[in-house]
Amino acid sequence: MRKTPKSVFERKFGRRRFLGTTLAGVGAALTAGMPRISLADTKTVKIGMNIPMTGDYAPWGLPGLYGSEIVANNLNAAGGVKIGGDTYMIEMAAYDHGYDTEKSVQGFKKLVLEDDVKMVMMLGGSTVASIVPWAMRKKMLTTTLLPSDITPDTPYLVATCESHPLYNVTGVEWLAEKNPDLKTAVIITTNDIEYGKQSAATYKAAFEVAGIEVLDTNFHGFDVVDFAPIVSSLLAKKPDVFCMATDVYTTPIVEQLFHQGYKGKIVSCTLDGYQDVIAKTSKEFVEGLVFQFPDFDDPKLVGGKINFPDPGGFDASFNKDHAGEWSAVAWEYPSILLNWVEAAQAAGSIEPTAVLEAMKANDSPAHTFGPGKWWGAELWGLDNAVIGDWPVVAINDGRARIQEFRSVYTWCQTNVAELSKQMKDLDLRIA
Amino acid sequence: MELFFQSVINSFIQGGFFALWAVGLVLVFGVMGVVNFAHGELVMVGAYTVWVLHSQYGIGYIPALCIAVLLVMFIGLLMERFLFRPKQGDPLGGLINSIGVLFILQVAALVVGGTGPAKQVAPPFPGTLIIQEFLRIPNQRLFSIAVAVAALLLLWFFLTKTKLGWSLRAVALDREAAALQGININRTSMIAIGVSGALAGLAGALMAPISNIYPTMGHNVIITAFIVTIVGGIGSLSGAVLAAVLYAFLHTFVTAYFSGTIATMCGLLIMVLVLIVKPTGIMGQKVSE
Amino acid sequence: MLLSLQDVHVHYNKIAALQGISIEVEEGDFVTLIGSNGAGKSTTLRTISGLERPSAGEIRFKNQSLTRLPPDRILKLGVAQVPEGRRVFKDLTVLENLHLGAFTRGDQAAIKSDLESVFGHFPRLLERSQQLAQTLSGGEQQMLSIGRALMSDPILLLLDEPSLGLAPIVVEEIAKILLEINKRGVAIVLVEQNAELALDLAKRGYVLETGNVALQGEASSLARNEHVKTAYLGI
Repeated sequence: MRKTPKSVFERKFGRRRFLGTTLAGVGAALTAGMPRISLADTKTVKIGMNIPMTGDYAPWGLPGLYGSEIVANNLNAAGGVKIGGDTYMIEMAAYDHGYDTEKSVQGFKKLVLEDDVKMVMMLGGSTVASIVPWAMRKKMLTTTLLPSDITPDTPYLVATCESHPLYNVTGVEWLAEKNPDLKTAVIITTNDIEYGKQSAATYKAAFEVAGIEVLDTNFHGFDVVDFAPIVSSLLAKKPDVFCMATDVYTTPIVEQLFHQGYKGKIVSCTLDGYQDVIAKTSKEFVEGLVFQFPDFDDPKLVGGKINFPDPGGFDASFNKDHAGEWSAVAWEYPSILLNWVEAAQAAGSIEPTAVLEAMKANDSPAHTFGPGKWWGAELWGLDNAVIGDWPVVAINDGRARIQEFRSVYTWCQTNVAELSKQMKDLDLRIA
Repeated sequence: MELFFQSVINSFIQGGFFALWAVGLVLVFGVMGVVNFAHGELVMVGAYTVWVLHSQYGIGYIPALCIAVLLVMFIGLLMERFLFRPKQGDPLGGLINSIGVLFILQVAALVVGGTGPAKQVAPPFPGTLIIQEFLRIPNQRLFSIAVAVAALLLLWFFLTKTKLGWSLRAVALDREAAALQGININRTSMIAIGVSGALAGLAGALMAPISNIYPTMGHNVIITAFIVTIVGGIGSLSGAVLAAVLYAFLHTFVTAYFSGTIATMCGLLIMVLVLIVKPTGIMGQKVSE
Repeated sequence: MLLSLQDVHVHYNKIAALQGISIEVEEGDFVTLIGSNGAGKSTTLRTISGLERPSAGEIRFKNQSLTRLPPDRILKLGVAQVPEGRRVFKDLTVLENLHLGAFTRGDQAAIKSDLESVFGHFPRLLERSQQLAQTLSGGEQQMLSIGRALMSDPILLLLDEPSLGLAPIVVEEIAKILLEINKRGVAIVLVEQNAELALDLAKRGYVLETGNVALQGEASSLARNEHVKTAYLGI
């Protein structure tokens, strides 16, 4: 997961929200007037996306809509999906809440009441917290990309794809195994609770388990204009590993590491747009930089236990229409859509509660990178997150390449106590 | 000690940018009496221009920088003619109009650049100047600080050594008295916002290769510019430059030795203190009657 | 006729400041406007200079209408003003202030000779030419303000309360210089609260009361008028 800077002014004025809504409204008005072509014997099921499509968080919403539309179109083109004897065309219904909690409630209700969607996919954080009371009363199947949104009171909220930030542990584990001489690390992260601190706590646990001492953790705000001072202060600690727990600013941070002559290892949660990082530094400098998000044309994503149809083709068609807009969520929302299709087929129904029941009944639900497990009770009070394998990705010769898949589940089972301790240390909610 | 030296270097570079951001704001406020809330967005447009022209269309960095300067200057002129002039003598009206521009430019950036991660511009001056193993300056930043200082010197020369510059300062000091000297206020406003826009465009173009480029990047710019402007003395250009350098040192050192959040808090705290204790700023004078 | 105001009305919001004023100034004339606070003297000067817009009436200067012209155009035609409170540019040097007075002019040689003549009138400005205007005394600032207006090479000079807040000896000095300037052919309209001084200097005078011309005539005859004596001369 990553997140862009958020400003006080934006919250206050919220003009893009206004503009976005206006545009969406005009669009809806135009399309509503057009005659619909209905195909005989096929029904339509609507899947909702209550996401930020404008504003600073748009990169974690809009690319997901593009990706979901590609997957839905592919399914529809192949004749739709058969659920309980009926054939359904899948239609995406999106609402732009611009990462505003009140608009999130509005959008959620609109999708459920007016569009009659059977599942609502969301990004997570405060915009999920605000819809939880109503959504749970309505027993609406809702998904989040942040498992930390799960509480004992959210039975209808699941996180079936992204395990932010639990997957961070695999990168650290892999790096430590390959480089037993690594002794110390520093962490830089944004100072928000939803993304930055969660990720930092997970990294701290991962380093602790790997026997690497964390010398310093720098929590910075979203108002940083120049990373030179922060990077200087962290490098003064002479770490073996430099860890970036959130990646809004990975490019300027790596750039500073490069210019300030850093020689050690670099670990990052994500590295969207890594070509830019290379352009600003050098291919040699970022060689071996470890992170968690693969390119979807990676040869290791072909075949095997991967539960994503034709990742390479998906990657190509996304980049054909939306070049430069790729972020991790581009494949995560579609992946959740595929989880829904699997569960609906198992349930023989599109009704939210039935689909959820089928999901939870599956002992080994299909996770993007292989079979997963329902988990989370020990950390958040409810087993509503699917975790399984996750790739360790490193830059090899200027390209992101999967090094190997590691089990997030096994690590979590073994080290949940350490993880809880680190979360508690940063005042994060745990069960 | 290594951290200390590196921080001194970091401070000067940051100070150059802070000053470049603030003087344009001060100039427009002084001459036109308008708080241009869209000033940060003008910087953003400068950065986007370089991204589009240099990174997307392969035009050289220097030509792209020059076009950014001219384009943002032109936007400034349009703002003066169609938004600020009709609201002359109505600072609130001008402010609200400028907030409107802020929205429009941010959406325009979204339309041009789309969503996705922040845009990046590969540095046209790669590499690092290594003075000592612990004292390093990226060439790109060296270029930026040199251009920023040159631009500020040019501005200083214009304002203190040319009759046109004096007329700008005269309007800032006393509009009516200036009008009585035959100084055309509208034309002077055009010059002020033209210079302000050019500086904003330049700042954006210089930032493009060394920072994240995204539609709301102007917020950090305007907040810093406000702190610097208020501490330096509203309407005082030399005060703004001095405050920019001092604030950059404070911000850089507090960030390096404590944390960035505390550094920003310090900045805001000093701004509030100045407003309470010496509202005219460290270099500002009492407004003449 | 150099300048004429015909039935000029000026309103601030809804309140009438001038209610139909008619004034005439000949070439090389020295006219004074006297009256109490709020009678409309300053407003009259501000309106001539284009700082206020008349709501009715006509202002003509050398047979050209000034009524709709902006201040910079009016200055270019040859009407300069020394505003009330001097209003020099305090952060600029004396020399820069004087050059701004000649802002609209391009002829460097003529500017230079006018500068010399201003320094001739006010030698103290020459001594302090590199100082910031804010370092000058009140009297010196008044001299600078007058010198700045002269730098535009005016045909008509408007002065608004030049004696305000100055020591008698300085007032006298300034009065002497005004007569000199007038003697060189520059017409003067002087607004003064010090009616005695004003009527002493001027050739003709107008007495303004609540936005109207109450009396007008030769300065010497006004000075003998019973009403003027009791109301403005304190006799």
